[in-house]
Amino acid sequence: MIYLDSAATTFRKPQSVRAAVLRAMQTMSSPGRGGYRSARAAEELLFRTRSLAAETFGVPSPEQVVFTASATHGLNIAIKSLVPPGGRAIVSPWEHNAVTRPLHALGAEVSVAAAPLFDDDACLRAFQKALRRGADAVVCTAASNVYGYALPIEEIAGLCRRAGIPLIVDASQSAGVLPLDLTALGAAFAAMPGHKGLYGPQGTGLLLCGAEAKPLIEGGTGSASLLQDMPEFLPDRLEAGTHNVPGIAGLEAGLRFVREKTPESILRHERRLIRRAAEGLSRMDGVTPFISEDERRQVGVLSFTVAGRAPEDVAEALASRSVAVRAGLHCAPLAHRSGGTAGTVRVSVSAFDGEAEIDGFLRALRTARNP
Amino acid sequence: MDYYLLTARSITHVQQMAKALEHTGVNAKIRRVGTGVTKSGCGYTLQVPERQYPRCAERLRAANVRPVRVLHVTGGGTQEVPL
Repeated sequence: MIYLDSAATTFRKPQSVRAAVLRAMQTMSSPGRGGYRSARAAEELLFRTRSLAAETFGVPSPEQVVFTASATHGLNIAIKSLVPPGGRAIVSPWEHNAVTRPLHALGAEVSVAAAPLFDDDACLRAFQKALRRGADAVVCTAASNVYGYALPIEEIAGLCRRAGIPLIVDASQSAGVLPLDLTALGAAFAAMPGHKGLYGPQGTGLLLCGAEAKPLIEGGTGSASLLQDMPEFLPDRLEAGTHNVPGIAGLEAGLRFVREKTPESILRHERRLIRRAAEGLSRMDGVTPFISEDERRQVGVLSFTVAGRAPEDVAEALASRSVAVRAGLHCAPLAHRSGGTAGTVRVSVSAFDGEAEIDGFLRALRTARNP
Repeated sequence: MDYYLLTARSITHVQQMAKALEHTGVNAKIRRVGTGVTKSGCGYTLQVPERQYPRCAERLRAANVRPVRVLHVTGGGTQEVPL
């Protein structure tokens, strides 16, 4: 199978990740619940992973690194910590339902900083204008999960700092490839999944906290147990219940894999593959790839449409030829409205893909169109 | 033997203290403790031998990782002291 859906999950994992998951299941029990060896081993794993994440993403203390089940989980905590019911939020035009649905559930007034795709100047002007009206928070993706557009997040963060409005960064498609420094950004929160660009298992994620957070759920933390309120301190305040220890073990190994290869080299590799795919697609009649002319504005995600064919039909035809891509709205209807598409076929790559995968996908698409 | 107990907010906090004391020659031991020490129940402390406490306190101040409380435990009882 040619797997080109890494924006959903990096399916191929480093061997070290698989080994770490297994080792954790064999040697680790509940962290923060006992003084015996298997509990201590789990506690040490959590601390190592928090420390590694803090160092990687510019977080002042490991206490500010919270384990979540996904980026969606982290975004829910962040959004519900900052935006009160009926409050006001500013979002980019490229947001995922992981952002827009929590805001909708809060009944928030949402202002979209609308700008054309891949247009940084217009994007910054739109944020500048939206910020004048004030808001409880700005929520912005660092890279679009539909088009792979890498937004000018440092500049957006600067605008938010100057306006005194807290910023929540959705790093779902950027963590592991684009730089993210929570302190330098001055962001309130950054949420990311463990199972995409960090090569960890599904069911893992990180929330980096630069502001006070409210618990999404309550329960046991192994600390301050006499109190019926959740602890005031991080990370316990946001981590009720037993941790996903095998998942976190895999996440630690994934983080080490990314650091060893370096995000810069992974990004260079992915951009090269995406360019190759876009060039091949643009040579096919009726196929429209959406790609930035400025390579720096693109991560390893590429959407395209085929004239006269529904994206789902194209993806199904590719699946029957053992090529896995994603089709449809990609859980981001706002992004499609903003980009002027009603669904796309999406190709996304990882460090494990090569030119052979891209060429195989292009061959399969040609035969799928001309059976 | 007399010793000091440095109480922590959480397991992560006590691990931060232990990390700050790595390679300093301080023989610090993480201990899980209960209401007798923490007041709010279920917590963690770092136990440090009495003679190593000055070096430990100096290092924690330098690393800006401060315990919640410091308890001096002797044969005669337990007394809270400043870091």
